[in-house]
Amino acid sequence: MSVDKQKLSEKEFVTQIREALDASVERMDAETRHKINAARKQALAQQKQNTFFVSHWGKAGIATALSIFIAILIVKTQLPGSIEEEGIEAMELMAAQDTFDMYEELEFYTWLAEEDVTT
Amino acid sequence: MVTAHSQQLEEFLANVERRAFRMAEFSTRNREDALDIVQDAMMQLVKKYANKPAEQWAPLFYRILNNRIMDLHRRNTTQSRWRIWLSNRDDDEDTDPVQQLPGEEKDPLAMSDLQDSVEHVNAAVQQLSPRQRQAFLLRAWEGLDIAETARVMKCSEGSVKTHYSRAVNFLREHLQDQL
Repeated sequence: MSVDKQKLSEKEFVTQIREALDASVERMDAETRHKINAARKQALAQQKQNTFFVSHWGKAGIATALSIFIAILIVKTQLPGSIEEEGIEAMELMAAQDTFDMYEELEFYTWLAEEDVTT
Repeated sequence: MVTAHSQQLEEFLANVERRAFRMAEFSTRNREDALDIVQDAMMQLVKKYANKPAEQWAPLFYRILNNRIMDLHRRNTTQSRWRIWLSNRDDDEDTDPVQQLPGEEKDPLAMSDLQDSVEHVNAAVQQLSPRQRQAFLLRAWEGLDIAETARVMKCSEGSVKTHYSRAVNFLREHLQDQL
């Protein structure tokens, strides 16, 4: 029991000291407060500066990577004889309406040629 | 996300900065040195540990602060050794620069002249040995637990308990009548 009482009183004693220390901080002079405040702001400004550089370098990196990717795509598609080019030509050939008309009227053109020869 | 974390960090620093200054001032007994140490500790925390979880900031910050105080004492010890050597005095070796710090002269008359309990407490805390003061302030004032205090002080938990207990006994002995 006496030990508990002593512990409690020790706890109270430490609380009183803590309160006195808190009071000493509250009483700190304005100049010191100002300097501490300025030191904190300087430390945090350093963090903002670091964050700014990291974010901007990150954006620049992404932009550079994207530019390189697009440039590679363009160069690849413009190479002669590439698969993409041949495919496009076949598509154009198939899509051309005139060519189909010519095949449909092939008999007419044959007859016309024969007539020219005989006349 | 970054803004919320930064805001939290600013609040943490605003919360601890004055107590940290007082701790540094207790150890250095020099306002400008204490300011430099606190500023350096804040810069280091922000630079290296800003992305750590907020609950880790207090032990990290006080560890940096403690290291800076130790560095200052090492420099002062080296300088004083040179001065002693130059004045042809012998000095005994000592490994712990913090323990090298002279304690305040225990002057009961000076204590009784102090005006209020705050000054009594400040004077008594200043009279503690450096290790006792660190353990007491980190545990009682900052609220660090024994394990965190041991990490900050780079010693065993048993040593923290011993330093803390001796600090409380000393303060009780010197402040019981004033509080």
